[in-house]
Amino acid sequence: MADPSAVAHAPGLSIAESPVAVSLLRVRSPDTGLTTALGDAFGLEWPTRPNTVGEGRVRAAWLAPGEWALFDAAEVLAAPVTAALGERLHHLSDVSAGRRLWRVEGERARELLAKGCGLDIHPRSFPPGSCAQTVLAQVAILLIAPGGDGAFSIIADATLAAHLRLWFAEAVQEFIA
Amino acid sequence: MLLIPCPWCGPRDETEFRCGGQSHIQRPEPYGAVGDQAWSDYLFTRANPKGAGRERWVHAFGCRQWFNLVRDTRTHEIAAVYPMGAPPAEIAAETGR
Ligand SMILES: [Zn+2]
Repeated sequence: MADPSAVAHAPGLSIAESPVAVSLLRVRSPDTGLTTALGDAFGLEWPTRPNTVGEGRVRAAWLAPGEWALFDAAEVLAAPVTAALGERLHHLSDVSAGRRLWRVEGERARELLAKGCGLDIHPRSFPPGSCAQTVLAQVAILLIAPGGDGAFSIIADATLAAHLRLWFAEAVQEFIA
Repeated sequence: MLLIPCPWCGPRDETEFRCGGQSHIQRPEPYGAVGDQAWSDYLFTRANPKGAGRERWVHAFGCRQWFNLVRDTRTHEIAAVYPMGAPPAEIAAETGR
């Protein structure tokens, strides 16, 4: 995987863009037995609550009832997913080629994102372990709250990468002294 | 801007949603016996309440789930949110129908 490339910098703010390994897992009407098996397979508390993230051998983000984003290549995930789900009909697709990742970090990260995103991302309502599909600069994104790494993760369609890159570059201007 | 309570994601900006129009519209059956009037009512005739109405909404930029809500067309007040397939929500005072 290529090194992240810096999109913009300012005091208390850095934005880097990179490819991302991400797959989508879909299961109809998941029950507790199924989500426990998935959690055990990847060593994490499986995110069954809406808009939460689980971290273990993979990072799993809740997207919709019975749908998760798993941050790895499908070829890596397929064996443990199949082992956990057995005969249960499921769908695992690698969407890495169609997505890009931005990491936004620094003490002014929230201020920057607030310029293009209406979601309340204060830790009071968007604590570590939260994720949300929402809109940033008119683009549909998956936003993940900063955890141990201290950075917001933003995943968006690769086709819109140029637009977001320009938006970040423009939005960061007011933070440059 | 409305703050719409998605049953899964909680309150989100109106711009994340799309409205799917009036809820609880039943396709007339059986196929062979549906006359032109019933079919055109099904396709085109809608309530136009001045007051509370039941609508379908989808959280298009979020969890992409459909749900029903009761919205007052005068005040935008959202009185109820309930799942697809549930019976029509009670409306306190059916005004202006
Ligand atoms: Zn939602």
